[in-house]
Amino acid sequence: MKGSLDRKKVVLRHLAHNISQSAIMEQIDARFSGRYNWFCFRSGKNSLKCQSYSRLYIDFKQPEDVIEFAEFFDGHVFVNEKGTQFKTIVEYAPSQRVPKQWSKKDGR
Amino acid sequence: PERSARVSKVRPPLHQYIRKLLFSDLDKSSIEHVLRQLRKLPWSECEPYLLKCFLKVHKGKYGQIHLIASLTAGLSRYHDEFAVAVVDEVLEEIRLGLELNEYGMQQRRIAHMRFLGELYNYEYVDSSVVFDTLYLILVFGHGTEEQDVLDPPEDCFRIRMIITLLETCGHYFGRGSSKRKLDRFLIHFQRYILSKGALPLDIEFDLQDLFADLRPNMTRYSTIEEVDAALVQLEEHEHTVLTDKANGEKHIEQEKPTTMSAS
Repeated sequence: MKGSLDRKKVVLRHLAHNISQSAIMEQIDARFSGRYNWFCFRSGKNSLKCQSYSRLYIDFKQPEDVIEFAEFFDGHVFVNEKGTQFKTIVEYAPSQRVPKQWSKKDGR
Repeated sequence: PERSARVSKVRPPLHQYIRKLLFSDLDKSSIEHVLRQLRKLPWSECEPYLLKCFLKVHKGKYGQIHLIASLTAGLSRYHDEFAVAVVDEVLEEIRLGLELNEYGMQQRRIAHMRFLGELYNYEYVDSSVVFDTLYLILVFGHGTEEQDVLDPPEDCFRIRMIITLLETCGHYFGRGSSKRKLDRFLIHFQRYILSKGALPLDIEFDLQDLFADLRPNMTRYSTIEEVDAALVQLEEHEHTVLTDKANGEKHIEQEKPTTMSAS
């Protein structure tokens, strides 16, 4: 099992369903620009049938950056334009897998 | 009453095609073909919809979930980003299910447990992910104010989830460190089961099958006290193994010059 020292992929959960990727990345880049290898934004949904939060997966270059990130964003309250507050949660991503950089182009 | 006729959802042709491939064409004999067709899709355009469909394993046949896992592994060679997203999404669904604990989501939650197990079988997730998930299910929400909503005392659904995951991939935890991890988990699981009191018969029978299948010789404890004693014993044992191992490693290091050729 990987110790916490090796884990670099983090998930930021409970983001507003309508937050945009650029809006959240702007906030992250203000502090953590250049310190991550990869990120993946998953937009939430708000319909009658289903409501879900947005999420952001981010893979840091250094395990120490994870701690600083959590200190800043865990419990951070975002307020959307309607005034609803969203309190975010930072956790290690349950799966630490990130896409391989060399993923080859499919010749099909 | 005056009401307009129900408008059925019109999907773009590409989405219709993806649905046809995954929900009606896919079976054991056609999987190669389906994989090839999926690879031919315009990926940048289709990826979000494909992800959505892959996560709809509960809409298809339960017995076909392994095919979706196989496709995920097959596509990872060319679209690793997609396969990574499938795994993240499945784990998020499982977590979300625990957070909401809605009755209407049960079928879907079971399908996702099965999907996770199959992704392990196709070597796309590690055993550590499986065990982290198993323990998460045992403890999520416990010790908080919401415990009675998230895991009511008479609610046995989490037992069902664990049975499903272990039925799917537990037989691979028969050797080495993963064997020890499962042995250990099953004792914790027994503690959880006992905390529920009397179980509905169908769950009890499924548990009996599961234990017979995975660990036919394991003791089924009948009281919390017994299981707690077993856990204490386990911890003591693990502690001695760890110290032995630390000593053993020193030992090996001293002997290194002679054993090098063996490795």
